Amino acid sequence: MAKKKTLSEKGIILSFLLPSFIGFCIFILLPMIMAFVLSFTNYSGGPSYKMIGLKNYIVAFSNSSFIQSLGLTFKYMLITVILQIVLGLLFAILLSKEFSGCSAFRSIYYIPNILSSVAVGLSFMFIFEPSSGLMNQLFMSIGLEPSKWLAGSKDALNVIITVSVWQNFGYYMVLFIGGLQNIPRTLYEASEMDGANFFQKFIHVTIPGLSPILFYGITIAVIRGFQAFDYIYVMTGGQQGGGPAGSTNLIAFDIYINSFTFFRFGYASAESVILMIIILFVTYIQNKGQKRWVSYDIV
Amino acid sequence: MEKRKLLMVATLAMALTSPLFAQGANESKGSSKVAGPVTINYYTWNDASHQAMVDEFNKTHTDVQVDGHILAAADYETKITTLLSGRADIDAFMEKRPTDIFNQYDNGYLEPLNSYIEKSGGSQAVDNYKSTVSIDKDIVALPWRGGAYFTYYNKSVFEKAGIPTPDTYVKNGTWTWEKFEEVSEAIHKADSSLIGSSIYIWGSNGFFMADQAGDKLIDKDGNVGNLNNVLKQLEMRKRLEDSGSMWKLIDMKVTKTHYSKQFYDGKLGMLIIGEWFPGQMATGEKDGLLNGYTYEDFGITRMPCDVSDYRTSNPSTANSITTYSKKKDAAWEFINWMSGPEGAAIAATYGILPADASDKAVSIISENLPKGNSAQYYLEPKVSQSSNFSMYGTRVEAEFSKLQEDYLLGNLTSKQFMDKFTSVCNEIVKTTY
Repeated sequence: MAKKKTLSEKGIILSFLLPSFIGFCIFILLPMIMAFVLSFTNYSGGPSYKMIGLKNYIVAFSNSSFIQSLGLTFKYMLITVILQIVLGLLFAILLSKEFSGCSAFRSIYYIPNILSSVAVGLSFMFIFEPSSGLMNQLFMSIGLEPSKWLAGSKDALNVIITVSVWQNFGYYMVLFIGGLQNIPRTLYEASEMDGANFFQKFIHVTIPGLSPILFYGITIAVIRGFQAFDYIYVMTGGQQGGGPAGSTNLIAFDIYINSFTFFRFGYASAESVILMIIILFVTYIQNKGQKRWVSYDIV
Repeated sequence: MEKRKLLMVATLAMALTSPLFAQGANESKGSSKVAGPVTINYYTWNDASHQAMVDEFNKTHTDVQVDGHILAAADYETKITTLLSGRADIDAFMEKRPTDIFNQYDNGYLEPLNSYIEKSGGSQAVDNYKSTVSIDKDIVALPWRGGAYFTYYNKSVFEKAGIPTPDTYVKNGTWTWEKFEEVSEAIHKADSSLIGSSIYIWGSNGFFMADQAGDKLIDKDGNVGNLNNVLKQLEMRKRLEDSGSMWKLIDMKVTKTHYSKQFYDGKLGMLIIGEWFPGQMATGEKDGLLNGYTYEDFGITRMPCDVSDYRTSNPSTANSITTYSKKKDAAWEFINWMSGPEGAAIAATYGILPADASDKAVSIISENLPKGNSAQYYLEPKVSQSSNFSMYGTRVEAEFSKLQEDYLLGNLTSKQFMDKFTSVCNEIVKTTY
C-alpha cells in the first residue's frame, strides 16, 4: 500500500509544481481565455471596444476568404501528414536495421528537423526561384518546361508542402525507429515460422507493434499541419500578404494578417477559437478511433 | 500547520514571479521624472535619416533630449501597434502606413495637434498634406517628409534604345500613361535585354491613376466609389508584363527583388517610385552599385498623368504624439523641429523631399539631385493625392493585391476582376465594425 504523503512532502511537491503551474496559467491558460473573450468583441488593439456577441463567428463563416483558408489548411494538413508519416515509416524500416553507416544516414535524414525553419525557407526560395532557380535549371537541363513554383497560384502551396515534408519527416523517422526497435524479435520469428512473407509481417506484426508511436506521430503531425505558418511567412512574404492570389493563405496566416495587418484582433481571435475547436475535434476523433487499431499490449 | 505551509508556498511563488512585474513598475516611475532636460521616447524604423534627425536634435537642444528607439522597418507597423496596445512608454512615433492612423485614433492613442499648431502660428507642412493627416477636424500627425511619386529614368538605357527621355514628353505636355506604355514597350523592343519600366509590388501602387483622378475607392461613409481607373491601370500593367516591357509583379514579390536593385542593375529604363528614391540612388552610387552607368545618367521627372492639371500620388510621412504621454510639450518641440526648416535641411542632405522645403533645404536638395531639369520637377509645387486614404484603406489594399495577382496570372478577366473587387470593397465596409 502506498505510503500516505505527509504535509511537508506535499508542500515540497507543490513548491516544485507551482512555478510551472504559474507559467502555464500566465502563458497558456490566460491567453486562451483572453482569446475566447476577445472573440466576442471588436477589439482592435486599444481600449475602445465593445461586446458584439457572435458577430465575428458569423462574419467568418460567411466570408469566402476564411472558407478558402480552411479548405487550403485541410489540404495542407492531409498531404503533409500522409507524406511525413509514410516517408518517416519507410525510412525507419530501411534504417532500423543495424548496418555499416546506419547512424550516419539516420543523422542525415534527421538534421533538417533541427534547422531553423527560416533558414530552410530562405534556402528553398533560392532553389525554387522562378527564373533561374536550381530546380528550374535542373528541369531545363533534362528538357522539361520550367515551372513558376512560388510565383504560381497553383504551385506555391505544393512548394511549401514539399519543404515542410523535407524538413519534418526525419523527426517521425526517428520516432518510428525507436518504436520498431522495441518490437520483440520473437514475434517476427514466430510469424516467419508460420510462413508469413514481408508484407504479412508488416501488417500483422510491425503495424500493431508500432501503433502507439504511429498514433502519437499522426496526432502531432495533424496538429502541426493545422498550425502551419512559418514557411508561408518566410517563403511567400508575410507583410506582402502571402503567395500569389491568396494561394498560401492557410488559417494561421489569415489569423496573423487579420491581427497584425488589419488590427482586427477580435475577428482573428474568433478564427483562432474556430481553429482550436477543429484541432480539438480532430484529435478527439483520432483518440476515439485509436481503440480500433492501436495495440498497447503487443510487447 | 497546513496553512503555514501553503503560506510559505505562496510566498515562494510571489518571490519567483515578482521580477516579472517589477520591471513595469520601474518603467512607469521613470516616465514621470522631469528634472533636468526632459527626455522623450521616440519610436521610428531603421533609416539613416531618422537617426540623423535624432542625433542633430540632441546636439542642438539642451531642454529636450530624444531617446530614439529604432525598430526594424519590415515589421514596424505590427510592432508599433503592439507597443501602443501595451501602453509602452512612447511619447512620439513615426507613422509608417498612413491609414493606420484611423485605428490608432479610434483607440484613443493619438493626441490631436490642432492647439499645438495654432500656438506655433500654423504649419506649412500640415497645410501641404492636411487631408492625409486629419480625421474629421483633428490633425493627428505632423508631416515631415513630403509625399510624391516621380518617374525616375536611366538616360543610358534611353540612349541604347535610341528614344527620347520622359522629360521630353513632360515638356510638351504629353506624358500620359498611354505614352508611358508606349515608351516602356519601345525600350524593350529596341533591346530585349532592357526592361522598359517597373512599378513596385505594393498594393497602393495600383491606384496611381485613381489617385490622380481624385477618385475615392471607399469614402468615409462607406460608399464604394469609381473603381474604373484601378482596372485601367491594371490592364496597362498586364499588357506591359505580357510583352516583357515591365518587371513582373509576382516575380518581384517571390524573389524579393527590391526596386532599387532593379534600377542599380542598369537594365531598367523607368521606375515609378516615391520621393525618397534620390537618397537611395546616392547611397547606391557611394557603394559602387550602379552597373554600367553613373549618377549623371540618372534623371527625375513627373509621374505620367492623364489629368490636365498635374497631380501625383502618395501621402506624406508624419509623426504623432501619444495621448498618454506625460511629456507632450517636449514631444511637440521635437516633431515640430523635424517638420521645420532645420529638420528639412537634414532630410535634404539624405536626398529626401521635406514636407515643407525651406530655402536651405531646396539648395541642398538641388545640389544633390542629378544635373539638368530634375530639380525643377522634384521641387515644383504639386498636388499629391490618395484615393485609398480611409479607415478601410489597409484592407482594400491587401484585398486588391490578391485580386491583382490573380488577374496578372491570367486567372481573371477584366469583368471578373471588377465584379470581385467591387464585391470585396462592399464586404470590407460591411465587416468593418
